[in-house]
Amino acid sequence: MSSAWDYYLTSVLVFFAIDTSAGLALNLQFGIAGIYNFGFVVFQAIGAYVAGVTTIGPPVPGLQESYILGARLPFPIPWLAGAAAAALVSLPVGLACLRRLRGDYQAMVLLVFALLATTVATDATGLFNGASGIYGIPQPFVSLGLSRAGYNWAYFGVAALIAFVVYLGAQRISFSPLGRVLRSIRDNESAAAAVGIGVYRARVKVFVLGGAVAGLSGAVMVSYIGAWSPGSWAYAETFVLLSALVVGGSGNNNGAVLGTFLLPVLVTQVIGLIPLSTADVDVVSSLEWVLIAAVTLFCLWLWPQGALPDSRRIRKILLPARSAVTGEPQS
Amino acid sequence: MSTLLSGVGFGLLTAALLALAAVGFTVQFGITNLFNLAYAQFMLVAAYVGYTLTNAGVDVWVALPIAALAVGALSVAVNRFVYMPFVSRGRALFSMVLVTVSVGLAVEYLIEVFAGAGAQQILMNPGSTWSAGGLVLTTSQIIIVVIAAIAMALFHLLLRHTRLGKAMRATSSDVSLARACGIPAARVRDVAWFISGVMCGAAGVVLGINVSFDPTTGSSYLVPIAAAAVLGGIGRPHGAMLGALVVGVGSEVFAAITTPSYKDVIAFGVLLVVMLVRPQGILPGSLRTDVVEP
Repeated sequence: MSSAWDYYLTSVLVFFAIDTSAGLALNLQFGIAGIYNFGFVVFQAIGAYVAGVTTIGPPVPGLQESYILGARLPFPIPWLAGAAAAALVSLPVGLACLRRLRGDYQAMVLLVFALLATTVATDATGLFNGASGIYGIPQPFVSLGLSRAGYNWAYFGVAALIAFVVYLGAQRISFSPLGRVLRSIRDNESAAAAVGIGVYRARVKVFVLGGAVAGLSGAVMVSYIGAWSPGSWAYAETFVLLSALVVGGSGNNNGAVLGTFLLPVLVTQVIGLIPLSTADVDVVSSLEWVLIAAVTLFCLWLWPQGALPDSRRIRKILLPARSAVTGEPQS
Repeated sequence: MSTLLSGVGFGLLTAALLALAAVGFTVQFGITNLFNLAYAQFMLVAAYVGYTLTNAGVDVWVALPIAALAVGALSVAVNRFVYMPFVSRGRALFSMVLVTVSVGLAVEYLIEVFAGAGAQQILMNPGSTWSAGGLVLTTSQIIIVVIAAIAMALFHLLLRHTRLGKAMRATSSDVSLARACGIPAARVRDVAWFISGVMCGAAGVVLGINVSFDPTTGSSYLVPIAAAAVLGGIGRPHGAMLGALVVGVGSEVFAAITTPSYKDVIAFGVLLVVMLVRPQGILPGSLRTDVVEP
């Protein structure tokens, strides 16, 4: 294999590993707990930003950059700081959004939160250095003196290890009493509350936990690409992960991994292989979003359970639920 | 003082846009019990239709109703052929939120494919400038505010004093009961989606006149629209009118005093406070949802 291909393949693998961690975290929140966290990418962005500024060092005086917390901390600390910061922010957000509201109301508020976060990050130049963001973030393992492809392999190893640990954790939670509680809330919130389950508390718990993993995945991403800007963490990025869960099977961790492989990785890469003139690149990248939206609708229509369904989903409740819209009983 | 008054002037203009948009948004929620998160993208479709027409030499006051009617038709079609089939297929399996966001995303990027990512604005002759104290508005801005006010008044009359309005209110509060009383709920729903789509389209053209827009502008307008609708109690048109006035004037005055880029922060603040303190909105009444208390 030529080294260019080696390099290409390994970077795809790195992205896959990072997306897998993120997908599993979102699966805990959305697939298992039923929280439509359209603000997920914001927590990734926070983790990435904090990891970035704690690696890059203080702003260089002449360069007109401004960001907070400029520090040059050794390797694992920025990642942990990123995860901690994301968890810290997700606590008040979760406390505010998950209280007393029905699911789609929460989804709307979290979507609005994500939209606003992008605006604020772009406009608060003093905090986030505006639309240009921060760049030139040092990569963590450069001191090892590896080749370009060798570096990628090493980085993939670390990212894959993190993804694997996240997977084990997610499996554990999924089959723990907490997992059962979260599923019960997802499948029938009123019934769960009626038998004495602390719905709000359990939701906030998984929201913060998922937020921490989101932050970590963002940190791993930013250390790899070495740059951060508000525009690259827009609300639509969350949608790709949600679509991946829908396709793979939300609520099932294996489904989450499969979905992440199929949607963000495979589709994007296959489209990337189409030879294009530069004029067509914009059109095709727009069509890629249209395609992802279409695939999501298609899968929701045909296989709402996904490729690998969550076997523990309660599909039938004793009394047929009435559709709130048509007023007719549902199957 | 004059910055404050000019803020109020812009605030009225924003409130006019928001009133049209938020009432449409809230009517759709009321009648179908779903948050149409593709709403802001539909607005943008109207802005682009208006832009294309005015570029082709059509007068903007002719382009506005054409674009509004087009989006009305689009709304009915999307509701009939996308949302409703998904709803009747089984709400228990998934939330409609994903469906509406998918549609919104598809619309947003289809616009980008056809119109490009660059910023546009509907250009028009603003007419002469009128000022009272520090409050400055152009003729066209006054026309926009008047159009919005007339639309609100007409919609109020429709809701309160016509059989159709009564049917819409009945369908909105209980579909099964409405149907049992012989109201053709599906047809009422279509009409409601058409009216709300027309309002959405009118708001979109106003957006295109007020500010320069690109394909991503729509989604950012979801913030104040949601805030206005939620402030007035989601699903309640009169509340949305009030909410639009508060959020529109409030955010522009805030922007005039501080930084213009932070005007959405007011909208989000409103949303957050309402959600925490009074999720049913400022008007008396209760939230029409199966809410579980913590």
